[in-house]
Amino acid sequence: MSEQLDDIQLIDDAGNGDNEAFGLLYERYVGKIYNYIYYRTGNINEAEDLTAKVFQRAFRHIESYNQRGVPFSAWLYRIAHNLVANWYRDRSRKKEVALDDQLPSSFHFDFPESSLEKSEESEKMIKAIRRLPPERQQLIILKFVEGLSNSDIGLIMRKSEGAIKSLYHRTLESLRKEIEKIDQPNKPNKKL
Amino acid sequence: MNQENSYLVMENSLLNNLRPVQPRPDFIKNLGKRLLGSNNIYLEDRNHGFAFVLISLGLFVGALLVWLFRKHG
Repeated sequence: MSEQLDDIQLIDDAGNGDNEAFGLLYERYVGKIYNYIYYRTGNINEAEDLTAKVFQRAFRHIESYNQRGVPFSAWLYRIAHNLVANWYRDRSRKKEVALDDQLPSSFHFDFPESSLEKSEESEKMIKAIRRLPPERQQLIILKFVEGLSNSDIGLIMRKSEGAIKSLYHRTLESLRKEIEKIDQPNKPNKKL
Repeated sequence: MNQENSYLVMENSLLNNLRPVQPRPDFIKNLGKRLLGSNNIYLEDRNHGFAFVLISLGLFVGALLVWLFRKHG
């Protein structure tokens, strides 16, 4: 709550042209936005590029940002979500596949190098998450990477807390199924 | 109950495997500089008087050419 109050003052100052105020907002949220985009795209270069675009857009439109009960962080996440959606759309048109995506070491974590097994499990989990629809990916990342509550997630995704809970359970079920598919890719379909 | 257990297992797996990553410090620093330095944009001062004179001169030359053409054409 106190961070939100600080944000209000900083946003006000930034809107009046105080670059230092925007700089403080940037430092506060750049890591979170980067994390969100990195987990959505799975690519460091794209994460950096899109993170830059999020803050450039926020900087350009800070004067028009209106705090109608929507925290500044929620606004940034929405911008990030939209930019990632555009990125996927453009990518599917170009039919490019980034080389990084093909390399097993495309994800780096704060795990000790010796825990290869854990890294493989992580990659499987992330692969499964990235097969989910965008909305469900967003929910998983906001909940488990960013550590947000259902209420905060609801503000970002424009849904009620109840709707988020319901979506969450459906997401876990979908994720379980995706992990099963990854574990057993050659499982034949049983037809009666 | 089985479904609840499987949710718990899934949640534990997610908690263990999804960790925040650290962006490159250079990237953070450089982006900050780019953002906060971008306000130093200088717009040209438009000289409206000069534009007015130029347009008027153009119209005058055009009218003169039309008059000459009609006179000798």
